[in-house]
Amino acid sequence: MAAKPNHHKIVFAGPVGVGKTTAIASISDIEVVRTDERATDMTLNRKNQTTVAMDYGQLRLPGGEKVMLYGTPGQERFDFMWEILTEGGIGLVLLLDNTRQHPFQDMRFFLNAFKDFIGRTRVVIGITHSDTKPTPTVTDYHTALKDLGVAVPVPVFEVDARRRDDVALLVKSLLYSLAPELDDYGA
Amino acid sequence: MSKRETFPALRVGLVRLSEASAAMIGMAFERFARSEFTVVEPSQAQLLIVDADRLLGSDTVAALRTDHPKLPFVLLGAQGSGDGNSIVLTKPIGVQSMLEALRGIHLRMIREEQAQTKEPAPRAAEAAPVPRHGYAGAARHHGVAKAEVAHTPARQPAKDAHPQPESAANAQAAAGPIVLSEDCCGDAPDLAPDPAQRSPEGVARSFYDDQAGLLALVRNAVRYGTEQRKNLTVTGLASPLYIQVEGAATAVTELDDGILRRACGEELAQQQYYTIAALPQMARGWRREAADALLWKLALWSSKGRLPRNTDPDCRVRMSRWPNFTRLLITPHAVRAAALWVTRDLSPIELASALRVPQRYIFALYAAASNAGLMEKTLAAAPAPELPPPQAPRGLLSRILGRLISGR
Repeated sequence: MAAKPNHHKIVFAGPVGVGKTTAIASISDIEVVRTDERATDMTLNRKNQTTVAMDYGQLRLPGGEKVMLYGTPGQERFDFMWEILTEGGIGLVLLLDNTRQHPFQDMRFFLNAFKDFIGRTRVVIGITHSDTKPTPTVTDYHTALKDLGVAVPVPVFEVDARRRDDVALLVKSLLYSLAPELDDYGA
Repeated sequence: MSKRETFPALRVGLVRLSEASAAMIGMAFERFARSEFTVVEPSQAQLLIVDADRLLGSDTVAALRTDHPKLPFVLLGAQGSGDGNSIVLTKPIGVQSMLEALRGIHLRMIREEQAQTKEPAPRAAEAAPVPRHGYAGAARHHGVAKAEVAHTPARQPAKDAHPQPESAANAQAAAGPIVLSEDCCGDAPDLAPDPAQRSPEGVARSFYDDQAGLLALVRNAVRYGTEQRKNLTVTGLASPLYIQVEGAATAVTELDDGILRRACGEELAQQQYYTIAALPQMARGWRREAADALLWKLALWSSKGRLPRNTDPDCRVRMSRWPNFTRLLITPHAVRAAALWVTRDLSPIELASALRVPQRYIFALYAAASNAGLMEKTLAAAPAPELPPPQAPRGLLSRILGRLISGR
């Protein structure tokens, strides 16, 4: 019997409407499996349809291996799923929406919520919608991270979740944060 | 259908390539040039890609030539020049630069074939498009090709909006503009690790004056404008460059990157900046970009793989934070170099050694990051620290990385 291929996962988290589904779709090899349902609570203020369970995409590696890309539900009432989703995960891609009223509060909330997972792995932060609202700047986020006492240097990039290159670079920086000696083939 | 698709795919044989390199090339063909190149057994190939580092010397290249006297070769990692029937690509090999080199050879072969049959050849611009002011990705034919590719800030739209590229033009559009790393990282040889072993000429070649030229002019203008909260115009170029300081500073100009890059290596006449009440109406062809991103590029183009004057290449430094790489020109190895430099105190020479890459790549990153105020000197005089152990299976991370770099 053939050995079962290994499957691994990278977790995408962030508030409602930040672009998790879009980001996963931009690098996924499969059509993203979405479990969107029409929201009935205050999330309706930000988007008509939002993720109440999770998104699922895939990166296919040679040899049948797969890296599962999980998007966590954005609402706190589903946070019981976050711990389950992070089990065995490679790292966390945290997306923050610059147009939200208190993006630093969002950052603090998610870093705290995923504290144990980040402690075991690494986190990278993508700032979305900075073209619509340029402030706070990336430098401001780094300052806020320092104020939060985050000791490990965290990659913080402006990203357009629709652009594959942006999202791929976020994930690459996550991998290099885990192992800078990885060969980059000159890239 | 593009004109290129009327020609059959070039059959490419891979000789002495590692499994990983062969897989990367296969994926690159599949992703960017499916209709143009296909990998076949060397005995059936029209062109051979040979990893010169894995050969036993020039005798082996000669042996290959004897076996395949009429086939063009692409030699990866070789020293010196190619000849009339081969080109040389220095490592690290950029995917797009390799494809451009192959397209150049393919075009030549098509022309030769058509010359025999008296059919018109496609124009070069159709087969291998070159950016207007270009530092295009085409490797140089019949000579030493330094064609490593640097990345530009991502500008690729959503995958759904653009199907897989099929033509050469589409492939280039999907990959974003291409620049040669030579423009940013130069081609200077490494300095000897031991300072006592360094020649004065070698040391002199490793530094540039970051307090002069276009870089210093624009840097000072942005600083002054930001402090005074005034918009400025920078003169001394072929056309004005405006600095707008409302919110985050931005640069507005009709000058393209090719002109700005060349200006970085020239002495500017009547260079100055002065304040203006308001920017003129943006005209067609003008572009706007963050001043930080422009300064990053200017620093790379001024540096060309050299360190700012008065930098001690043996002094340990640390990067204070990650650069905002998605909006910056990325040079080869910059991302993983940053990953190490934000966590470890290393001199530029130590970092190049730790990553096993030519120093010029690290010097270029240092130049840009230093200009952006991201490099901090450290006081430690301890032995060079070891690389941190990976916190996840290295093979897995490497496979994911390869998958992301290849795009497919």
